[in-house]
Amino acid sequence: MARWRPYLLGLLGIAAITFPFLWLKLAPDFDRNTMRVEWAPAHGLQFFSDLSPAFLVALLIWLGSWSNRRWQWQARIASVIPAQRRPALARYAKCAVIPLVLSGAFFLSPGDLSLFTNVGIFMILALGLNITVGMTGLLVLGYAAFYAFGAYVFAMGQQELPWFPWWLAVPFAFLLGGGAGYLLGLPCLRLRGDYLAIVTLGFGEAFLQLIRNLPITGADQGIILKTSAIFRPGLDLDKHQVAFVITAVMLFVAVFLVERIHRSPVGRAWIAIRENEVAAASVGVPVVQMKLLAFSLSAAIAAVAGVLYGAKDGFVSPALGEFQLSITVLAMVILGGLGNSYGALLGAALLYLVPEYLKLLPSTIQQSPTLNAAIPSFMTDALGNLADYRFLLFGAVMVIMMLYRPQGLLGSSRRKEEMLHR
Amino acid sequence: MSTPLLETQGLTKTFGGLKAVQGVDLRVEANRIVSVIGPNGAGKTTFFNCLSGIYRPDAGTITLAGRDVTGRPPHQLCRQGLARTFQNIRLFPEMTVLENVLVAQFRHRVLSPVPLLLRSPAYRESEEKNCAEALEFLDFVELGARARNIAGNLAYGQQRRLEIARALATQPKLLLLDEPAAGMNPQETAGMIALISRIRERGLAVLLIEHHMKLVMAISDDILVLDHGIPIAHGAPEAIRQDPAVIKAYLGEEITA
Repeated sequence: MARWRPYLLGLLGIAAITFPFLWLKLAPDFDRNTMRVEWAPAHGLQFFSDLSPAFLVALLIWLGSWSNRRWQWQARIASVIPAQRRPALARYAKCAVIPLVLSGAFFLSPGDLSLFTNVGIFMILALGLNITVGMTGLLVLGYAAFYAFGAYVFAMGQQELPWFPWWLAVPFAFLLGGGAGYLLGLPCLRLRGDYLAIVTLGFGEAFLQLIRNLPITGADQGIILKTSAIFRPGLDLDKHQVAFVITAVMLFVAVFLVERIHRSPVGRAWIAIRENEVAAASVGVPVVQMKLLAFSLSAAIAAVAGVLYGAKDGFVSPALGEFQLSITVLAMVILGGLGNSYGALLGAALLYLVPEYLKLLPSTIQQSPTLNAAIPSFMTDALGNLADYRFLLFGAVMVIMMLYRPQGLLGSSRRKEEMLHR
Repeated sequence: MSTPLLETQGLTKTFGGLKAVQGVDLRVEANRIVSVIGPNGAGKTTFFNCLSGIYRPDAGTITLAGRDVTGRPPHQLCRQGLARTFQNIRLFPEMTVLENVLVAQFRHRVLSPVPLLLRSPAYRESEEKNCAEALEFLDFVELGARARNIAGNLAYGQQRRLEIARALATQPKLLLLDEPAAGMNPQETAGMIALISRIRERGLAVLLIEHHMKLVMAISDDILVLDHGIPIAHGAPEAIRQDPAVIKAYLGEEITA
């Protein structure tokens, strides 16, 4: 209990400051031509009723972990599969995912396809950021700049050149993005931890201001891409299906690439640098080269994601490079588990899909008579409003994760290997 | 006389006004065990950090196998055949014991992107060879059975031995050991003496920092004594034991009325 005291005191402090404001509102005072503070109990009640689904989910998670401690159901389910068969089963499961995902192009609605294409792009981004932040232990906060960089390489290329389709832009963006990552890496090599984070943040913001103000980047208006350059219907597939399939294939290639490197001497060198840079250098790991490689590869992957976004939406704007996007991708990587590629994928899917589905949930409930009858109406309204609170919920989830599961949802795959061979 | 494996001339390192290491001359011949001793704060670890490239010396030269390597970064020194362990253990705690050793073989791997990404037969073969070698190094320090464990979960003495295995995996000609027996009980210390002797049998030279006099006297061919960064004595163990300057540095001056 003593361990939690500072956090509890902090939470109580925040609650004490914010609590009174939940019950107040500003109203115009026409007599004195100004605003006045009014007592509004309905607002406070609305806040708690809006958050009620979140409380419900928290309660369910707590019940799950409590019952697991009581009855060990997780271990019992796991014991059904013998330990030595598990790696092979995991490999088959991974391969089975590929046709499963691709077949999604034929039964998902265009809206869903567009949504999942976005999820795929965010997965690629999270996978790339995981290389620097998760594996090599270099905190990069200006990651969105590389995403925007890739998108602009594509957009400007197709503007200047007579023929520059997306598939030509992908290798270009990969190489140029890698070069940009290398150049950013050079001045950052001497920096560590927070200092590195601030410098990368600075570079990211500088790049964003650049594309906001240069005439050749279209400034704030952005660039509308030629239809000849972006995803087009073909092979009996419509535009959304093409975007989905290509993004999925790119994602599989990225996972393959990153995981092969992760499980090679290069990946081990990255992790060694994260674990202890001095020791890594003195056992012969070329720290400078390996860090630059990590920067380049992660930037190159982000740039490819940028091209995919441009080819999907047909429009590129400075909004791609915003700080909020860097933070969202970072949150995805941390939520899934630093250093675990599959964790990054899971984190990206959760943080992108949960708010999206929260928005859709009320209408789904209202359309189904059984659900409509089973769920009280205040809960339905609350689910709709919950999406507005998503950054509050992200924050709460991050704090809870740091306290209870700092290694992320999937955590490090190495720990699990040890459990298997004990 | 042949060129020594390691030679320092007038090696000096200062931190602001503090002269941590001053004009140290040292020769280490191949396949010899040389110890550096001295009271706490004598500059022994600073001397090691200069040798292994973590600090850049302010003056003096370091020659490794006849080549001037003064001021080279650690990974290049490692490439020249110098490996070290650390006084405060610096493992890669989240990695497995085996992976800790595999990382140290990085410099022996020829890595080209295409075979690596496609896992070509040649690449897989070199990976397997790597693993087999790493396991041999682990067996050498009697950690073979813990290969799959997380390094951070090992007991203290095991972590020290893992550090030695990791250093050996870089296939050095000279191994620097910074207080390998610190915090060990008499039984573990005896094991460490045996291990260092076996390292010498492999044809390596060992440069050792140690406070444990029994260990130092038992295995050293040569001893260098530092006090306040200044070399005060250099010679065979027997001579050092009798040296008045050494006794003074350790025990203080005898009061004579």
